Amino acid sequence: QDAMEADTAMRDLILKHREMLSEWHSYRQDTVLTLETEFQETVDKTGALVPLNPDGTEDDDYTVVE
Amino acid sequence: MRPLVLMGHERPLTQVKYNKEGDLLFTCSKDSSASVWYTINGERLGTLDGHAGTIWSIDVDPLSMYCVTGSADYSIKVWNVSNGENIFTYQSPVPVKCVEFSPCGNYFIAILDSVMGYPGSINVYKLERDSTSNEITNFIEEPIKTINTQEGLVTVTVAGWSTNGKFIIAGHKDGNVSKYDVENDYQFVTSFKLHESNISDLQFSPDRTYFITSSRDSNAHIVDVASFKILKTYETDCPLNTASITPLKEFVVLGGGQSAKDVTTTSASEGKFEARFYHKIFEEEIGRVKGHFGPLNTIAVSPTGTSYTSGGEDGLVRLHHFEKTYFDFKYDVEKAFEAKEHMQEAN
Repeated sequence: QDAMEADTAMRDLILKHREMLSEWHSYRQDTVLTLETEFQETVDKTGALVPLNPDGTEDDDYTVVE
Repeated sequence: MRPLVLMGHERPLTQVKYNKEGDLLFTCSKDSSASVWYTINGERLGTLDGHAGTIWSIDVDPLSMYCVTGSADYSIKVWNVSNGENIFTYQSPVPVKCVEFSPCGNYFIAILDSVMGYPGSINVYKLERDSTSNEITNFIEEPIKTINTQEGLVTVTVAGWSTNGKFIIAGHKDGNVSKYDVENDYQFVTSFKLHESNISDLQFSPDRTYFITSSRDSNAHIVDVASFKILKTYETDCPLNTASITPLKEFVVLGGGQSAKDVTTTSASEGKFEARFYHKIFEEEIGRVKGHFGPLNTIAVSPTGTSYTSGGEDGLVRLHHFEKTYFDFKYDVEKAFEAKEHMQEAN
């Protein structure tokens, strides 16, 4: 009886973990997509090839070195 | 995981911070000094001497050229990292509790405490830099913006910048978190009650799209910046002073312990002076790291994800480089999930 209950509890936990994992990955995909969309909007609006800092200067992290 | 124990401070640590590359560690303490260390071997690069009171907070800019400290001596100091020289001092009417550079490094925020009739505020300072050398050319003494504590909220204790410096997120003494829109003249956006007690720490994820908070109510939460909703909750059995998110692995590290006033009557084993590792997604505790003789006041994880550092009430800094077992650790469910994704990509 105890072993069966332990098995059920383990199965429930695994299912819960699977669900949490899928939810998190889905959240992360949405976030990355939003960031990419915002980046594209900035590029379209400003014509800049790289994201801009709040003061209008180019973000060094994205500066392409030729 | 044998730590490097850095003995350079005589009083409790208040904050530890890595630079962007993770090769330098910045520490500050109630002993009025700040130190810079090489993370690879724990060698001290130098000290930042000049404050006359507790240094509550320290931060380094994205280029590791300058660092800023906020102190109980009513001042904010900017330092040259390469030679430890204090290059500018801002005067404050009250103690400064927290400082943080914007992601671009051209601004920083300072949290001014609410004491002696001062209502408390988040001050935003601008640094003018040379466009080619990136050296600071001009310090503007007055803040470009003073965000006063919103009506209905109490003093801000911690704050930071979200992705690309779009929002400032603040944690309050009464457990509230609030959000301010940088592009819209730092206007207040929203707030909600996240903790039952003082928010002791607020640290962002690597891409700054979500953040973790810790509180003396023994809980830590992960909150999404955009939706401002709680994503994850970590429940512990001790008051928390600090929380940090690990890159590379899906973990969070929490630290705290019995409050300083109870430490003399509490043994190290009962005081819960351990860094606690939780699985970020599953919200389950997966391990603890002992070592400190008092509460953990501050924890930082290297941006490279290869080490973490804790600063304690005992005045010690413990720098841990993660071992292979740390990187290998995975739940079976995670392994199966990755295998499934890999198969889908292959098809």
